[in-house]
Amino acid sequence: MVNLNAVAPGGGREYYVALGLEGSANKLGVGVVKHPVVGKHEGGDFSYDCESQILSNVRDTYITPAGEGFLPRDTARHHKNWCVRLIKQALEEAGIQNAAKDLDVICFTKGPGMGAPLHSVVVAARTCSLLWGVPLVGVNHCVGHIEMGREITKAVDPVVLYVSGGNTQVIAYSEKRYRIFGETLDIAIGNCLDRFARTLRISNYPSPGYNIEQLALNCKKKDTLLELPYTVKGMDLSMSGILAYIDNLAKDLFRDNRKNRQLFDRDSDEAKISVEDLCFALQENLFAMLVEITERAMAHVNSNQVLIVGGVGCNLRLQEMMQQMCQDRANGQVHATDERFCIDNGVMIAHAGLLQYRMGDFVKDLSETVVTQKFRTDEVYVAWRE
Amino acid sequence: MALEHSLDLQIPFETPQQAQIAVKVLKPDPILRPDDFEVDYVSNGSVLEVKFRSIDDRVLRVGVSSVINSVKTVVEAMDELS
Amino acid sequence: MSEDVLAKVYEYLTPGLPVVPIAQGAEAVVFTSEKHPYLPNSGKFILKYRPPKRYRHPSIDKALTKHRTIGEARLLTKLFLIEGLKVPKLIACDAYNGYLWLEFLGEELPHGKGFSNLKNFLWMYATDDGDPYCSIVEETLKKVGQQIGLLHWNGYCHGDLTSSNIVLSRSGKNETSWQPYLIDFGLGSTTDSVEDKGVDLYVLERAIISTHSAHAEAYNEWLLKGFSEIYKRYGDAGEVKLKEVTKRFQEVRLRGRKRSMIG
Repeated sequence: MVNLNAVAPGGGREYYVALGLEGSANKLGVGVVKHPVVGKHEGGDFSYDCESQILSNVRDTYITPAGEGFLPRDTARHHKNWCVRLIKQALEEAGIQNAAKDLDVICFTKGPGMGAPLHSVVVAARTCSLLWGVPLVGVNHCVGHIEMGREITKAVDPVVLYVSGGNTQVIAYSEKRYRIFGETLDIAIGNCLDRFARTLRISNYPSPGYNIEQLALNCKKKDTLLELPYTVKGMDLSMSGILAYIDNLAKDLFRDNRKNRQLFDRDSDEAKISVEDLCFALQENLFAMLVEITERAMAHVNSNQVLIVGGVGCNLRLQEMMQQMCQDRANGQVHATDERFCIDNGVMIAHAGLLQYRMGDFVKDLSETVVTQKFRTDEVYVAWRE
Repeated sequence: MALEHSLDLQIPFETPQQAQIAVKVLKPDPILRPDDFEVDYVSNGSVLEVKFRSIDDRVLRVGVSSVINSVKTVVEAMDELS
Repeated sequence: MSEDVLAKVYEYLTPGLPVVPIAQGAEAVVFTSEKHPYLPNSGKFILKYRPPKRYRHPSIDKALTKHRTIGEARLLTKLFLIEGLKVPKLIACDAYNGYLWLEFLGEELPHGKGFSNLKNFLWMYATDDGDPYCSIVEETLKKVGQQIGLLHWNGYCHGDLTSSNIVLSRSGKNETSWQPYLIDFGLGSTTDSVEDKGVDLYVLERAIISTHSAHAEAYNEWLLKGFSEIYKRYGDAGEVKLKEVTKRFQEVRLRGRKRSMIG
């Protein structure tokens, strides 16, 4: 039995309000979330249904020119420029007039992520906390995604596939921890897609992954698939090999390397494969690998529910493949959120942070607010679940 | 090796409370290379006093620049969100 | 088990051949059979079938099914010949359709504790009146470690070492001594790579931690002990190789922990 109402909201309110700040990569997100005090939360295991209300959700993404990735220093500068502005906007949209009285807690991403951008955000968080006398809570970015996913989809105990630019993990909850069952052995899938997008020099707006998805949809030859290395290793997968392989193909295509018989017809010297075909093949292979390791985890823990979180979770083809697998596997279900919550945002930090806060966890000394690039999902003690 | 290069900054805030807040916000982060660079934060009335000591002027410049950037965020937050 | 899959299997087999579905893993479905199409005096067999997976592109699916079925068959035949190594005997293989006939191993654990794989065995001792640290568990885990040691020493890796892929068998119903068998070599390979072996050990360690968290530390220690024993039988050469593998194992572990995560 878990009691989520142990810590009372401030200001004589019948509900909690949290401000969340997220800046671990190139998205800077600020959100305000409200949890009503509800009887059933006194005992039981209801953290997936907090009846949350999202009072505001603002975000600004640092987008680099086509062919370039985002670097820590520039990203940090972007966050520093926008942070206070976004906080102000989020508070206004949420109708918060007196932050000191109206907020219970300020939640910020403690990690994992890029050091300098994370730091930019925490400086603002600390200042607000001291100005308003509102306590701070440091949140694990991955846990933020998971809890937001659970709340939005109401999935009770799914296997979670967390896929983003910086992370690729298959997670299942067990005994107060989000345990990692499978993960990437080298790069994250979002990173793989982003880097291929750079090779192709396609636009980073709205996101490189989205543009690859669109190109893949436009593939005219879906029946034949270019053969790519398939690298699942048990419960884990590796992606640097497939990236290197397809990068080389793309380069040969651009350089008109007629010697490459996979790309160019031996007799007519015409290109047999288009950029769309490459994107299609890459997605089909990568996603098949992800679905396979997810299925392995499901078999291991006997589950038939999957929750997909993280930026790459927006991809409809991935959702479609996962849904097919779940259905074939004892009529299971896939749960996914839309781009408001798949992609990094402040609301997920506020929501997860508020769960932590309600269980009595908050910063006692500012030395606890030092950000950390490496922060494993299973390091977090999940007090709010049974 | 002695940290021979130094810089002292005095940044005036509007009130002593603000200067104290600035100290608390800047203090927690550990220095990446403590052998090459040291920084101290003290509030003196309404003034934030920052003392930098470094092994050479390039490291000093980088360190000072970084701290000033953080101070900018603190000041902006105080202006917009108090 | 899905109706479509069952229908496919019955269509494929000789009509009237009795098969009983017993498990559905992530990749394959497993049946037992008391009869075999052409072996005269049968016994009990395992029929392992890799059904097509609709979620993936057909060309990936066909390639994977064939590759994994053949790969597993080839491996099993080679491994079966290694002294001391315990794997199921391969009876027949139809790689294009994804079928493997294998010898049946294991039994039903007492008191309805399920099939005698390592996972259920450990769970059996972890409940109510069992002692998770008793000598039977220790001895069994050491033997499992030895099997893995033998596998690695001979230049192979399993590729999917979880506690569900280790089956325990004993010579009689009242015996307390269990012999572990390694099964499911669908992701196995021949390898000289320290990396592959390190990853093998890491995958098993993580599987034990994930599903038997409370006793994982001792369990993993016993596994490693059994593993090391095999390498130590080969004198200095063995010691050197053992050090390489364990060192890489630590590195893989750290890599998992220190991997930088952004976004």
